[in-house]
Parts: sequence; structure tokens; C-alpha cells
Amino acid sequence: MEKVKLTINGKTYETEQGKTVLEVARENNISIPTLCYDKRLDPYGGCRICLVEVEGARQLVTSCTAMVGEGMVVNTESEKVIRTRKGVLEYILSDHPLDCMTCEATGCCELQDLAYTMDIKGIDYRSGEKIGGVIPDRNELIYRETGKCIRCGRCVRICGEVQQDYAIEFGGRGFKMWVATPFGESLLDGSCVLCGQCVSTCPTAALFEKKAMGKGRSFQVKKVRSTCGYCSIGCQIDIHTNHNGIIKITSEVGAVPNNGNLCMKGRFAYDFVNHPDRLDTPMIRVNGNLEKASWEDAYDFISKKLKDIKSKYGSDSISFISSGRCTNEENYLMQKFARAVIGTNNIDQSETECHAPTLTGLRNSLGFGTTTNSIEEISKSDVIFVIGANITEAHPIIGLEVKKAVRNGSTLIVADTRRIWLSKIAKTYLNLQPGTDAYLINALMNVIIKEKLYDEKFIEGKTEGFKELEKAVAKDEPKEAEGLCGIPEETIKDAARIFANAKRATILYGNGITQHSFGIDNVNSLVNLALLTGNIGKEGAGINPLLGQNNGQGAFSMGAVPGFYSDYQPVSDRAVRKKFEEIYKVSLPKNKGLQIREMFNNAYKGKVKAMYVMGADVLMSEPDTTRVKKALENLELLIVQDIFMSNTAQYADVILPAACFAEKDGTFTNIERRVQRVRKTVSPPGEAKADWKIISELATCMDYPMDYNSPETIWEEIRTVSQNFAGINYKRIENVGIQWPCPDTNHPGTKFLYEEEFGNGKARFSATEVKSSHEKTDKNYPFILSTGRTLYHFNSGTMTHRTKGSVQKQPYSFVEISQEDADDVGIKDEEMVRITTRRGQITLSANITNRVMPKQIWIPFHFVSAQANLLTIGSCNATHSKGNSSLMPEYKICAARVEKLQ
Amino acid sequence: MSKLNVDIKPVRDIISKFGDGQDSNLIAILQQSQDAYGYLPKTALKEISRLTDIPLTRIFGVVTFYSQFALIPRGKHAIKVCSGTACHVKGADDVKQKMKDILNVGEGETTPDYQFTLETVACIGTCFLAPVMMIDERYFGKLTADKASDIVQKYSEKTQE
Repeated sequence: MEKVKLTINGKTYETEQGKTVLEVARENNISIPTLCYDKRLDPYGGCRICLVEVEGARQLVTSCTAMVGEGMVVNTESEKVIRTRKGVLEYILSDHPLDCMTCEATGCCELQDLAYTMDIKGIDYRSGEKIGGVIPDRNELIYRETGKCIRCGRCVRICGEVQQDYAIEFGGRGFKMWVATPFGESLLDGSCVLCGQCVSTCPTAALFEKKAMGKGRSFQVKKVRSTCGYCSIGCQIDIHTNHNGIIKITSEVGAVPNNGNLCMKGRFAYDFVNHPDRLDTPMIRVNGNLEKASWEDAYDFISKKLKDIKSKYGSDSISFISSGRCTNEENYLMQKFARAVIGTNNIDQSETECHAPTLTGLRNSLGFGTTTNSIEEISKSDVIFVIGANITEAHPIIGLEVKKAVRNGSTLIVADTRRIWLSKIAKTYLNLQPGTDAYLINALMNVIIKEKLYDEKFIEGKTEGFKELEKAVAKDEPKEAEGLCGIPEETIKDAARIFANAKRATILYGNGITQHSFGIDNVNSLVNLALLTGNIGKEGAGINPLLGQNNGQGAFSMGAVPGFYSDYQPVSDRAVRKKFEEIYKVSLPKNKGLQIREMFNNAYKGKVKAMYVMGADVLMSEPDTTRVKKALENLELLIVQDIFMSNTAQYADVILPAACFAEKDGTFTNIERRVQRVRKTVSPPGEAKADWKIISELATCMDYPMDYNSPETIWEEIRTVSQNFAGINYKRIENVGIQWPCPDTNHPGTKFLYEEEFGNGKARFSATEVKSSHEKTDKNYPFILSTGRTLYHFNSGTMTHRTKGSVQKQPYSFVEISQEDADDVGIKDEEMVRITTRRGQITLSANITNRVMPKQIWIPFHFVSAQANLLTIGSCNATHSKGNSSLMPEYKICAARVEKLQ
Repeated sequence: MSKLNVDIKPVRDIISKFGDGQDSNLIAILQQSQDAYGYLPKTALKEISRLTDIPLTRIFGVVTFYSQFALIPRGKHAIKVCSGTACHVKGADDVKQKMKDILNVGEGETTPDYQFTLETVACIGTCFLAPVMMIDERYFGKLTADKASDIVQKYSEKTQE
């Protein structure tokens, strides 16, 4: 970047070309007032309050749009500047209501602050005419009052530029201009996704959080920084509370990794925290009924039962399901409890059902079973390949990064069976048939190899197994893929060339890749593609799995998996085991434990007798619900530790009420390996306790004392046994999280992996024969059913179904079906239909859309009223269930029938 | 007001004439659509949005920005009473009031039989005729309230024939 020198208020500053005067001034603590400026938006120059004097310029210039130039002389405080700014502010205030004494924004109003610092009363040009009012809208989240609007356009721009939802726009002109929805429709009816980004940027109370109104001004409430508890992005949030609990959630512009952006769930879906349905006391099943109990009784009951079962059937008859929803410390303790207290490696968690192939595939070929790059690097990639991931709904803030990158010129390739939002802005959209991902990827590699577009130097120096790959993909001609994937040969070739010719290409993939019985082959193929083109080990280029749960990453890396202790140290390694035995002061089990899928299979067969489930609603999340239910009924003891009476909890013998993310301290690890603080902001309801506390107390009760007095003391233990986390402590992550690997306290953390070398020295190509093992359609089951997430709900829905906004926007489940198929079945939009598979049936409303292709249907899995997993396939591909740690159920594909409900 | 059925065909024909680059032709598309329908029906705007990929909010913003566009059906005849400086001095207010009285509508409103829409405009550039009004494309000058009333009356009769 070229350097330039400029003078501001008599002092010379050196800076980089391409910056604005405002940016340079602020970097050097020179204050210039702004109203229409938000770092997240393109400069606008609309409010005129940031005017400065530039020598030689005919008139004052807006510093937010003026680029710095060599030798520029700027004055930000001249008499003319001050006088003009005051005039501008007087004009803005001329029709602004002066009701600050009752206004919600008092204390956090940029207009009020400016009037105060500039000593403007807003009475000079007052017309007296009352303009605008409150816009009636039945949505329960966003309040709009046009009278308070100063037409800075920040809301309209964030909606268009950043979110690209175009839900609001200026209507009319002059004094009567207002922020409009088409025809005054409710925000619930148009393209608005209720993200509240408009509220976040509004400088006044023209837009405000409805739920926070009347609950206290910004200076009367407590504000605590924490990490969002929904998806895996780990957005930094500020939780505002008064004596009654949470009143709103905001985020600060500049916060890592979300830069002040939040989605609907992160910003608004906190009503569950203080919900009357929360579990607030332990319960024990007596004569078939769950009855309230004291903690002591609950611990005694569990302790006695577990000891009995252990002595009767052995340690391995007990299984533990930890949680990607809980903190690192809690996952660590859960695995310690399983291994040290009970003596079994039967510990796993539900993120395994999403990303076991990621853990195995990436680890075997590259070294670490995790994301290679950071979220901020997405905007530095010139090609982004999104496959099997509906990012704008499942990971909305990463969605914003992709939108931003495309807006700034990056090329997007999207491969998905559904016409997802991102396909609209993709250069190439590969609308593939379900289950043909590996064919497609192999065909891409076939083209890249045939046309010699691969990175020879990288392959030579950093990888092994290229010859085998070359042989394996030689037969996967794009012409053949055309028939299988349903994508024209030329389109495949184009996509291959775009990807291979990129300087920095990044791959983002989700459960559409992994949740197949052959998910491991899909992951391996993607790794191959990244290696083949040398797109790994550099900024903005890599392979990035999008894990679903807020701390799925942490649950894996803290050892809540059958094969590894924390930091992926194998339980099969004798030296490692010895190290942990010394620290845990007990002998530890040698044999590999059961993966979550095997736990249910074994419970079904009666081999697993007890299960301890923490923070997971397995009856909703596991495939083939009917079979899972049978497995749970078979158990002699089911312990459920949760925040709500979930479907699973209803089968429990003991229920332990837990604290949610806003009620405890600890850390989560986000998708980019960043360990971030979670902070207690409110107290848990009734007698509920943090999970780490429950596990510690239960262990102590079972004669294995765990005397941790805080999550920090647990973290200190984790650090000492986990090399890649050794450099991270609470003090260092007080403000910004650190990305592991971080081996010592002077290490800054690792932004992207494999810059020097791969985990095993060289990266390994894994040539894969592509398979198609999915359930075939036939006359009785002619549709291919797939399932997935929506923007408004999360996982089994226990949290979001208790939240305003989510319920308003998406009150009940639906099945997406094409017009063509709807006509065949004889149904109209929103009519009730019955979906049947070989395992079960559900009834729900039809949503006729061109998002799905003919002969395909799609159902969200968030609804108890229409449980998608009654339909899905639980059994695993036989060839994958023996000794393969990437065991995956066939979540994404099964054959189904659609009937009109008579 | 009676409910109006909107035929979607005219707007499709209009858009198809523009081929590519419809983004920059939005105003022309809107003008022609308004000519075709007499106003811009919601259904037509939604169709424009669907076919051109221009967000409906953006279209709505443009439509409400320009006073030439109307979102509610307009009368067969547009009566524009000038309220520019010259007309104002010469008694435009009386003319305007008379119009309101005989048509029983306010400014910007349309009679229930969709015959007349009453508007006031700032200046129509014929100050020498003040006070002036326009009905459709015709000018009527040197008005008094009664004269204006007679003129409108004639339009009414013509319509009923």
C-alpha cells in the first residue's frame, strides 16, 4: 500500500492511500462527528455533519467520503467548520421531536450526544408541524417511529448492502421522506428476516427493540460481553440486563469475529432464558412419575444406580452424551467423568452426527480435524466454493461475509440440491442431484488434471498420493457426471477452471456434505480438490467445515469423543494414556468407546444399560426416532441434564436442571478455532446449576473428588494437558478470543493452519471411489427427502419455539415441494400433507416453491409437531461401521411419499 | 370504492419490450405501466419486481419519490388546479375550494365513480392566464369559481353520455 502524508490541524500524519480523511482522523484520536457513518457500510456523505476544511477545496468536504491525498491540509476545527456543522445540526433537529425525557434512546442517541457537545437546542428553524409517527406493525421485535428518523439512511443501507434483503427503502421525499416497506406491509410479510441490523445502526430511536422498551435506559442497565449460544460463529454479544433479566442483546462494531453484526436468533431469540418452562429443580422418577427431588437425593440416586450397573454389567454398559451446546470446561469434565469416574471411553456428543467425517477426513489427510481458516479471510478469497451448506440461514453472519466478498468482486460457486439464497449471487450454480457430491467433485478434479490446471509445485513439495488420485478420478469424466449429477458438462468444466485458476480459493461446506453414510468420501474429495489446486496453508485459501452447534468445535477438541482425550490425543496411545492416568490419578480404559450412533444401536439391542445425556435432545436429533425411542425405553437408567423438559427428558429416570449460556461462566470455541469467553449475566432459575458444577458435585458424590471452584480452574487443568491450548488463559482472552493452536502464552494464536507444514509433515490425498448408497426411490416412495435448518429456529427448537419473532415468522413446520409435484399430488400452497417413509410418517403444511427440484422434497428438523427424524434413516452403511470413526447416518437422503391429507 | 381486477398481461408486455438492462429502465417501465393501468397496481409492481429482479422495496421507493406516479386508481380525468404565486394572488384558493365542494373530494383524491382526480400543482407555466387549471391536457384560464364549476360540469355530462 502506498504511503501518503497529510496534515490535520497542523500536525503531519503518515498513512496509506485509499483511506478516508475520517478514518485517518479517528485512528489518531481526532474527533469528527458523524451521523450517517457506520464502518460496516459504504461511505455515504449524506448527513453533512462530518464536514471539514481542506486547503484548496472550493467548499467544505465530507470527511467520510474524502480520500486522503499527498500533501493534503485538513482542518477539522476551524471556525467555518464549527459554524457550518452547527447549522446542519439545527436543520436536522428542526423537525425532530424534542421529547428526550421520554425517549427510549436517551443515553445511547447519537443525535442527542451531538446536540449536547455542540450545544444546539434545535429551536432555530422549528416549523411546528408534526411530521411522522409510529408505524403500526404486528411484528413483535422491531419498533419504527418515523418522526425520530433523521434520514441518515443507515438502516436502508445495512439492509441493502450488508444483509442484501432489501426489506426497507426510503419512501417519498423531502420532509415527508420515511423508511418504508412496500405498501406499508408488516416486516413479517416482506423480505425482512428480522435480523434487527437496522435497529443496530439507527442513531436515534426511530428504530428500536420493541422488547426493550420501557425496561430502562442504556445508563440504567448492566451490559456484559459474552458469546452467542446459537450457531458456531461465536458472535460477540453484549447482554443488557435489568433486575428482571435480559432486556436486549447488541453487538459492538469492531468486535471479532462478527463486527457488530448479528442475526435474528443472536439478537432477539433470548426469551427462552427467563421462560416459565425452564427446569428449575431436580426430578426423580418414582413409580413411573417424575417427582421433584433435592440435589442430594438426585446425586445419591444416580450414584447408587451407576455403581450398580457398573458392577453388574461393566463400565462399558454406561454411555455419555456430552454437548456442543455446553462450554469447553463442561465438555472436558464430562469426558473426565466418563473416563476417570466410570472407566469407559463411551463418550460422544451430537456434533458427531454432523461432522464425524470432518474430524476423521481432515485429520487423516491434513493433521487437524478442523477448519483451516478464519472468518475474516473469506473476503480475501477470490473464489469461494460453497457446497452442501445453506449459509445464509444456518450461519447467517458467515453468509454476510460471503455476500460482502461477492459484492467486492469475489467469484462464488454454489453447489446445492436446493436453490438456496446464495445461488442468486453465484457466478456458477451447480444444481446437483442429492447424493452426487463426490461425483461432482471428482469430475471437477478430472477436468483440472486433464487440463493441467493443478498446482504442481505444491503437490510435489507438500503432498503424497497424487498418482493414486490421478488414477482414481481419470474415469470420472464430466460427461458422465452430467448424467449422474444433472449438471451440464460445460458448466462443470467452467466451475473447475474458475476454481483452479483462483489465486486464493476457499471451500465452505456444511452438513449437506457430511450427513451421508458416505460423508467421509465427500470430505476426502473436497480435501483432494483443495490440495490439488494448492489452496491450503495460505490466507484466504482452505477447507472450512461449518459446524452447527455453538461449541461443536470445543466438544470435539475437549475430548468428548470416544477415540480422543482433549486436544485430539488418542486414547489408544499408551504414552498419552499414561500422562492422563497420572493427572487423573486413576487407571483409564484402553479400548475405544462407542460412537453416539453405536450407543443407540447397543441400547436398542440391550447392551448399553445407562445413558447420561447432557444438553442434547437426542429423541429429536437422532435419525429414525422410533428406534431411538425403543433404545431409550430399554435403558435401566437415563439421566438427562437440560434446560427444558425436552422430548428426551420425558423418558428420563433423573432430570438435572442446568444453567443456559447466559447463566454461567466458561469458554466456547468457535468455528475458526477461537476460544472465547462466556460470561454469567443472570442467575439460573430456581435450583438449576451450571453443568460443570453438576458434574463436579456428582463426581465428588461418587468418591472421585472434583473440587473446581470456577470454570477458570478447569481451564487451567485443560491447558496443562493440552499442548495446543497451553497458551490460552482467561486473562489473555478477556477482550478478544485466541485461535488454537496456541502452544505458549507468547504465541498470538493461529489464524490459518498449515502455513509451514502439515500435521503429519505432508498432506495426503485420499483417492476415493465414489459410491451411491442412498435409499432408492420406487413406486411407493417416489420422492427424495432431505432435511435441514431454517434461519428462524435452532436444532430441536426448545429455545426458539419459546421466542417471539421466531414463532411469528415461522410458526409451524412445512415441506418444500415443487409446483410440478404439487400439481401431481393435487395440493395447493399451505394445504396439509402427509409424508411417509419406510420408517414413519408426519403431517405438515405444503410450501410450494422453486427452491426444490421436482421429485425432491425438503423439511426443517426444528419442529416437535412434525419430527423430521421420524422419517430419516438411522442405520449406517455396513462397510463404514467397522472400525471407522466417521460412522454417519443417512440424514440427508431417504425415499418418501407425499399424500394430500383428506 | 369498487374493487378493481388487475390484468397482469400489459405489464408483462411492457417489460418484455425492454429486453436486458431493465434495471436502468425502471422509470420508463413504470411510466408505461401507469399509462396502461391509469395508476400502478400492487399486482403490477410485484410482477415488475419478479421479472426484473429489482427488489419491490426499491420500486416502491421510486414510485413514492416521484409525484407523477400513483399507487391508487385515478379518475378518468385529472384536474390540476394551479397554486403557483400568480394564481394564488388571483384567487386559486376559491377555485380549489369550489372543486372540492362539487366533487366532494380532498386534494389528491378521486371521486367514487373514478371520473375525476383532484390535484394541486405548484405552477404550470401559464401565469398570464391566472388563475389556471388543467383538465387532462387542456388549459382553462382566467377562472372564477363558478366558471370552473361549469367546466367540470360539462366533463361530467360528456362522460355520462
